[in-house]
Amino acid sequence: MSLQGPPYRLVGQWAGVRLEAPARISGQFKLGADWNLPNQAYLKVKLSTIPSGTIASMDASAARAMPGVLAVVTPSDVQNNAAWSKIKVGTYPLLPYDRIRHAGEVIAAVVAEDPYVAEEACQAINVTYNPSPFVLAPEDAIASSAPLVNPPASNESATVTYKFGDAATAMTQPGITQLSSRYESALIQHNNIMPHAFTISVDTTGRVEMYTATQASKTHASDLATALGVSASRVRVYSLSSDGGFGDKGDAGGGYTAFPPEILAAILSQQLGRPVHHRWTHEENLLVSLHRSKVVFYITTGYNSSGTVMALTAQGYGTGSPYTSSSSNASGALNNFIWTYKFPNFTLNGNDGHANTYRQGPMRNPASPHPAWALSSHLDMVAAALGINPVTMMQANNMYTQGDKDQLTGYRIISIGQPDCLNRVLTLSGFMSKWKAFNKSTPLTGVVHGIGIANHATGNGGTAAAETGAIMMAADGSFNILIDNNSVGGGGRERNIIIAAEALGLPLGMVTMDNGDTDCGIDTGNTVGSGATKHVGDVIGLACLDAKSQMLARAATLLNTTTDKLTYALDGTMQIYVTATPTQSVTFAQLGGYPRIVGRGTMTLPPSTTGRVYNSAVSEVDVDTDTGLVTVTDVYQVEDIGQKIFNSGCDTQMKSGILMALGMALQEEQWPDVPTGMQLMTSHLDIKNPLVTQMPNMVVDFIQNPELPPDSYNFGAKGMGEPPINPSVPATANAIYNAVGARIYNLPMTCDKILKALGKA
Amino acid sequence: MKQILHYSPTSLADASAYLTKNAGSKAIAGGTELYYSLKQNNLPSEPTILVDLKSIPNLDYITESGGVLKIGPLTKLAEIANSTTVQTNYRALAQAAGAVASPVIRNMGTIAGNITQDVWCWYYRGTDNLYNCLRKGGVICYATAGDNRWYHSIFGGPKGCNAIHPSDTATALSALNASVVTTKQTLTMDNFFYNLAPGNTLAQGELITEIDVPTPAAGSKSAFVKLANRNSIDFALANAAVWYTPASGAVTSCKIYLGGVFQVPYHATAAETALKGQTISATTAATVGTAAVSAATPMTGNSFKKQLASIAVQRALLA
Repeated sequence: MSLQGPPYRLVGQWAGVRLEAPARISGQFKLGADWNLPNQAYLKVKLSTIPSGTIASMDASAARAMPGVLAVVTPSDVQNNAAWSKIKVGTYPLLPYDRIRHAGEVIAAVVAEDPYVAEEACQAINVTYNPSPFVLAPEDAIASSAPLVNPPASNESATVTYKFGDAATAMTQPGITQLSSRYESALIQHNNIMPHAFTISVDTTGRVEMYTATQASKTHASDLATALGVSASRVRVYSLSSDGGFGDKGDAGGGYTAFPPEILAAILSQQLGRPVHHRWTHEENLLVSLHRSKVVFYITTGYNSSGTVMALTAQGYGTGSPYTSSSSNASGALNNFIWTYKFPNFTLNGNDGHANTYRQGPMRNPASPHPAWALSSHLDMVAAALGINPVTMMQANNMYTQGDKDQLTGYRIISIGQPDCLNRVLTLSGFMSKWKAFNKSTPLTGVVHGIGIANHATGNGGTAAAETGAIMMAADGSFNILIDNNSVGGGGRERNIIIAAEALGLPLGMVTMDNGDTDCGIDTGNTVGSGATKHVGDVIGLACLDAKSQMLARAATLLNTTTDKLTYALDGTMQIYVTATPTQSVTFAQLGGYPRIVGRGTMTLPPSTTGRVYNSAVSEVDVDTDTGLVTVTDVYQVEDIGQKIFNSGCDTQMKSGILMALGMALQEEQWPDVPTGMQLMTSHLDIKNPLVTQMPNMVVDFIQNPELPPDSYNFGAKGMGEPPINPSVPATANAIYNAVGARIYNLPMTCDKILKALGKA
Repeated sequence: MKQILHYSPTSLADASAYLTKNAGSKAIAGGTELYYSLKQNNLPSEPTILVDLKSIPNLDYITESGGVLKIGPLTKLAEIANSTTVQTNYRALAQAAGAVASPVIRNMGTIAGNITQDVWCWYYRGTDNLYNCLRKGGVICYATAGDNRWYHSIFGGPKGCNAIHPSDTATALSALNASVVTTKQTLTMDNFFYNLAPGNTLAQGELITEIDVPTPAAGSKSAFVKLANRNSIDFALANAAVWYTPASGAVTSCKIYLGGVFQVPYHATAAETALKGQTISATTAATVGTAAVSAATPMTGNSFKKQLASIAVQRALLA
């Protein structure tokens, strides 16, 4: 049995108000911070103010003596406790009794009767430090003279090499011109409106329940079980679909481990016999939580007179999180250079180093927007050097097209929509008629307009970890979706309900979905980000097929016939009837008896198969050449999404991705104070997220080419939520170049850098 | 956050007496500045009592009589920005009030609060007083060796502090020759600002009772221009307010101030000299803009602000 094909009743068709809107607007939806349990206590943490060193002394006596304080945990408490000293976050201590590795690191925790007492108690903990030398910058981190972040281990956190053909030889062939550039991205954070929050309860039987919005619920469950010394079956993590996951709520640094405050809350809940609630402040989120890495790329291309890149070499340096490597680092990002175009020769090296910067890890399409910016900026410079249109340059290179295999791995790519995206965005934007090469003789005064274009392919949303899920029938014929690792965020639940309702032929109102619940599955790894559309959607589709199969079998028994003589109504009438005599039928409600119908699904991609999501964008900017301030006037963006499931969800994901891209391109940065290594830029006044007033005119569209079984069981959709952040960063950079003839090699492209490039500062 | 007592005075005299009597008390009006600082725990000394001036009646008004615009200290910035009177005769002030932060803050923030806000520097304003900088009694200005891109001075640092005053309205009020009336004295804007924390000369218990702006002579013109990273919310990287007369023909008298580039509104006297006797034109504006920053000594990371301040002056003159 397979899912029905088009035309669809709901998939890509449903245009009603968002299913969750009434609950959200009326406040019935509980966010992580709202999840309060009776008799709960409150956790607060104290943060380090130095980037590197050890704790010389910590006096918590005043904090312990404060009325309302229930527990205080210091690094020495952890070190001297037989059980707690064995608890590791990754491979590091629960609290840093060995050494501090970044400013803003959690160095103590307080649990109190209310959060304000807990906060005051944290402030009452007196700390002195033995500071030691620190290192922040990517290239500095792996220098032989760099202070060690995790002595005696080397700072080297990850290396990668991708080699195809012979770039060195190709680079020196006759007719080949070389261009080399250095690009440096910025460390940035999600700045999510809802910071991380969780509530953990450990009862007297050892049963552990955690309520939080995380994409890593399975590893949270296993980490809590390990920390508490209970069996995995005693731990249950609910991932709340009400909050966004953002990536920074997932883990403590790229390794899918629970954050120290989460583990501390669990062990203190166990000790106190009370639930413990923790709601991070925005500042804690900025300091403790995960960031997209700062990466430096050195790119050299060897190209011919047509603009065909015959050789590409790149060296990437990333600041590894102080604790673990990060998917957003050079080692994770470099393969984004080779997924859009089939360069005939390339050698890419990535070297990441541990540094005393903030923790780094997943952030919307972790490994992509910064390499997208670097490579597309570089290719735009090649086009400029040759005096050709950047689209001509794109067409002179060998873009991946449908049916191609990955030239490095040989893997089959499920579907490839890059050429379609490019063609569509050219039509939407009118790029070819608008684009004119920057004229060096044009005086740069006042406001000038520019237009830029970029392509990008990413693996996010194209593939995902293996996943399991189920759908359960109720007595009235309605269904409830059971997923262990919920796709956090508003749109995920709606997407899953639409898939199930379409697959089972149900009215939308007859399908519900609970929060993710680790008791509903097994630990098959975390399905995160856009992978949730892919594999959570797939397992729901497969679970529906399983349920349909059981329903048909039961209907055949009730109607005294065989399943091949039955028709399963997909029109929302909730019935199965004998095909030849439709008056002979059973309703879904009649099938809802014992044993309960439960459809199950398990999904993993076929071997040697990979999936990718493609985007093309055109950006138009006004650059005030007297102030360096940039206004993005228009963005046109097209994404290859396989199959649209949830219309308004797709639209808003695209536009939010564009807005995040513009923040990354033009404004956002969070970096410690260089001379001291201490935390700086810790408020939303310092970190300049894009504002609603800065939203450009956005025109978005989609290429729909549904993926088929055995690659897809969700009606053919790719995960489309993360990739929209990628192409508008380089498209905007290229538009600025087109406007003023100056390339900005450091993100964000702020007014000071633009004025400097123009010789006005 | 520590518990703070709250006092609701019935009159300015009551508030002034209470503040004088209680050293740990601090006045609060709109609260957009103070609540932020309390939440960030970045005040040099945290108040133990807040004296809520909003409980005092009749402190928000805009009247024009006898050649003076009188503005009550608790008049909301939004009211000033939207006042036809202010827009007509005191354009720079209306433009400045309308350029502050966001609609939400303009609906809460008051004119007195806007000019009495503390200086801005992300080291001085660091959470939990993380940086014990010069202004807080330490021994170094962290901005000197650190990141001084956005909110730091380009005209040097009196007493070693390179912070800037972030007020938009202070720049405009300075250019419009306004006076600040307090419970003890009447001060010109230049005298009101003073290069020590908290940035003005108000003593404990001294409260602003009114802001008076002389009605500009007929035929004069004023304008305010703000340049910021984002087109709302952010403090100015540089702002400029100009007043000159006559609006057409050779300028005989003028005032030009810059904001966001010095600890207090910067009186661009060289620009005024360059403008006097000249007729407004693009050429004149460029000359005056250059003169406005002729004394600038930018820090390592903010030389671009010299350009911004110059452009702000030019645009204000041509507005």
